Amino acid sequence: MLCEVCGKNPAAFHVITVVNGEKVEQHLCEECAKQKGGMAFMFHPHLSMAGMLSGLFAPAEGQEEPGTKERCPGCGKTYHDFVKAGRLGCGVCYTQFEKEIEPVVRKIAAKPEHVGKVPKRRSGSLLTWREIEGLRRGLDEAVRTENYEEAARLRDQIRELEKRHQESR
Amino acid sequence: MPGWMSGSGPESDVVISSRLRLARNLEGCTFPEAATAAQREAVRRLVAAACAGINQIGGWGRFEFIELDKVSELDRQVLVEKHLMSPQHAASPEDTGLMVSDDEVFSVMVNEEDHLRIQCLFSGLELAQGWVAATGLDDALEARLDYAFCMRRGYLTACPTNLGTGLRASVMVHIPALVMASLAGGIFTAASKMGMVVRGMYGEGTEALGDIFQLSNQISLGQAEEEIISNLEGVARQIIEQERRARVAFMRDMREQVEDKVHRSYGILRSARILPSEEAMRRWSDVKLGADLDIIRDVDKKALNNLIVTTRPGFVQKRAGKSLSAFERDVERAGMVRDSLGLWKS
Repeated sequence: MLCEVCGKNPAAFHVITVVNGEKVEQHLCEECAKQKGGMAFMFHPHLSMAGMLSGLFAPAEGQEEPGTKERCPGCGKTYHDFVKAGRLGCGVCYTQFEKEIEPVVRKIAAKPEHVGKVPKRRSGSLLTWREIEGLRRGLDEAVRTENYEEAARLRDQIRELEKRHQESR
Repeated sequence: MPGWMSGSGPESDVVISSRLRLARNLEGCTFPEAATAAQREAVRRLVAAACAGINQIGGWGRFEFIELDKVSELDRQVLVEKHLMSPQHAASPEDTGLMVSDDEVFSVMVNEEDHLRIQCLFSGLELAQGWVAATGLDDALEARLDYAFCMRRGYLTACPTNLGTGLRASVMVHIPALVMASLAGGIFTAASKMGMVVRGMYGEGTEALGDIFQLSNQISLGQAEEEIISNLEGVARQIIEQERRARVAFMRDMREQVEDKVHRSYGILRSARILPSEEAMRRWSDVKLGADLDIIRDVDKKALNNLIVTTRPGFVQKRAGKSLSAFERDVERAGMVRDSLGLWKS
């Protein structure tokens, strides 16, 4: 089937839009679909968030598929399974495939670190962890600006908090 | 009928409802899609027990725990139409569950994409109140269940797009004037640049019916819940403002055409004998606009809002008490709409 707008390229998208309350269905090529803008894309009936993700992180053609060997000890899934399904198998996958997931997370998050609500039961140790992260950034900055006195102070503070953090876990 | 359909609440001339959803998983349990039937069943039991515990302390009304593989397909469809769960959840009911509060404000999908999807729904623009309610139920569940949580990534979810807060806040807006003016597309493109997603009425992959759209946050990680909510509220307020301006412009420049459109649709809803669901929603949109612009004064806004759900195919059949063919549904729907608008019953 050819694109209904330009009549030249093959139709790759089934686009549903609502104009004046009337549903309009069109089969468009990629170029014309792009020109119709964001709204049309959002109603591509088969396009889900997970589908978009797996599309983004699939390897380019001809490249070897990565992550087919290493398995998550929690659920037995591979990173390749995630790329295919767009979903991870269990919480352990996030640690097991951290290196691979990091760039994915960076693309979709405001910041790669969580800043919101924390489960009440674990809030004590989590708050300490957040504090340590903040101090570490301060330490990096102090070293960069050659403020060694401040750096030493921060280093001792971090050590102290880390000790407490270990004990509380 | 769920409270979100009452047609009341702040900005209810444009905002139909506000929804807050939290994705949560249980520590040490495989996510539902990768889990075995036995693992899923174990999760369902844990949540059912937590539900019973919450019922015991009270304060939430009473929660019913529904095992979705034990109810009919039609009942599941009605739960979707009431927005108490997703279409995906109805489609694969094996070892899944739904916790619903008796006022139908709160619901928790069990073993959908994540172990728990906690949601609450309010009429009008009520995101701040919604967050207080959702986080409260989340606390009550967390007191009874161990959540999968990581210090860096926050609440761990099956799809990385829900990491962090696990929060998806959304508002359902009715924007007929923007659609008529062909301005909706541009506004949605602008909203998506501000980190929002626009979808059809029943969420991901669904169409927009009756000029109703769902606007929600795209980012869940790296922003606190309050920030996510206030960003969404900001974008929603801009859309409300634009829609109201478009309505004023239409009434100033094209009053007769608007009034004609509204009254024609009102006439059809009150007198049609065969009413397909898509047409019902299209006519509904005109009449709702007419009611909000005071063109029609004798319509009960609550009854009108109820039609969003009661004209859906599952609901029509539930009301008839049996499964119906498409044609029979259209006849049943026409009768139901005439009844609920309280006129011309014969």
